[in-house]
Amino acid sequence: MTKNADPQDVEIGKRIRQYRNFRDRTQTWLGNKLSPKKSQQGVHHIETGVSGIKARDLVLVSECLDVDVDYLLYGDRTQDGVSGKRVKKVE
Amino acid sequence: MAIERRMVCRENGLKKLNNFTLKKSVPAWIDDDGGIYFGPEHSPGFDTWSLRKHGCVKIDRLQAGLLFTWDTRYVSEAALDNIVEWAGSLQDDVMIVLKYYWGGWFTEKPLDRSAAVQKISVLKQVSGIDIARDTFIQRSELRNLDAATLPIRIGFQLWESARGEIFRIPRAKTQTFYSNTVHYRPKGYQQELMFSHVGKRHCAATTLPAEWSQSAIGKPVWWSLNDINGEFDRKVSPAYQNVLETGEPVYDKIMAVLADNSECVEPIWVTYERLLVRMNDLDGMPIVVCVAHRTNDVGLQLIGEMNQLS
Repeated sequence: MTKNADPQDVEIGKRIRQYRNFRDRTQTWLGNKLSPKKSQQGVHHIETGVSGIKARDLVLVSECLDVDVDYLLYGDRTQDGVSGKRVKKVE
Repeated sequence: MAIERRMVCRENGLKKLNNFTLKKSVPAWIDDDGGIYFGPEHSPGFDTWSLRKHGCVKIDRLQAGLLFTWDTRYVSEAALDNIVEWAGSLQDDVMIVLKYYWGGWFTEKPLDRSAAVQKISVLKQVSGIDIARDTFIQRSELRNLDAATLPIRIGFQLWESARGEIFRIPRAKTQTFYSNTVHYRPKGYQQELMFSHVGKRHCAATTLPAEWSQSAIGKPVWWSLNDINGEFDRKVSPAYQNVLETGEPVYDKIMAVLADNSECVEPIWVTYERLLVRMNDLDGMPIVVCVAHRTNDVGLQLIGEMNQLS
């Protein structure tokens, strides 16, 4: 983990990477979907938690990777600690 | 209502105009850059994260207006500035509901555009001030009932015309009476008051989860919710016993921060009016009847009074 990175950003980044790989997409592809567009390096920083993802970018990521926003934020645990399935579709 | 408006947002110090249409059930968000985007539907987790980590303001479209939601502790000034600017461009007749976290969730009454903008400006000034979180009761004279909300006035008129006897309530009004009231009946050697009836339209039944109404019957009067400081019951409950003993009606305005027992739900500010009267039930036994109505006008005015009292 990068020094001083927000642990939640790191976790969110890990799940984004996990789903990007699952959908077989590159960091460059994902960067082009964001608004404003981000470079491959910018997406890498998000995925490693170096820079936190903006709320509007998280919505875009969830749409283009077809994954629930809540899953990206909290994984299989919802905010109140109740376990639940958060993935929209598993192909 | 024209929802389609030009949205002015600031990004990187530049002003730019976006056209956007608010869709029903899809919330819009204004972020810390003042940019606007649509968020996911029904995602409490995302809402919390956006409100608190990014200081965003949420815009929901209601049946007859708009709902602005933000957390005063984390909201970005740019987001609030932009929501004010945007609200200023809306039609005059658009009603706006403000919901904000300030030691608990407040929900204001619907305001017209200019009043909403003014209130947001006031809230920007006071958001850093710590607020008292005590339960506050303002006892009102019965002669002030003219200014009370409709359910309270109807409750008082029914009590007066029936002269405290439930069997004297006209049949046409029985349903209204039962659906708007909660009844407490003394039980046991100590004559402790217990819930004996919870009306579906009473504010406790409409505010709390449905299971609450079902499980309340037979529970003592103090069984309801925990407040933050544990003093809600201590301040609110004695009036019930007094009304039973004296027969004198009581009309109160109450403001409290309440938390759910499970602690899964965030504290909410609750403001309501209540009327307590003693009546004789159909079997002749004395009961305490409570009519209560949420006023949702929590605001800075009452808090000001609280601060003056303390």
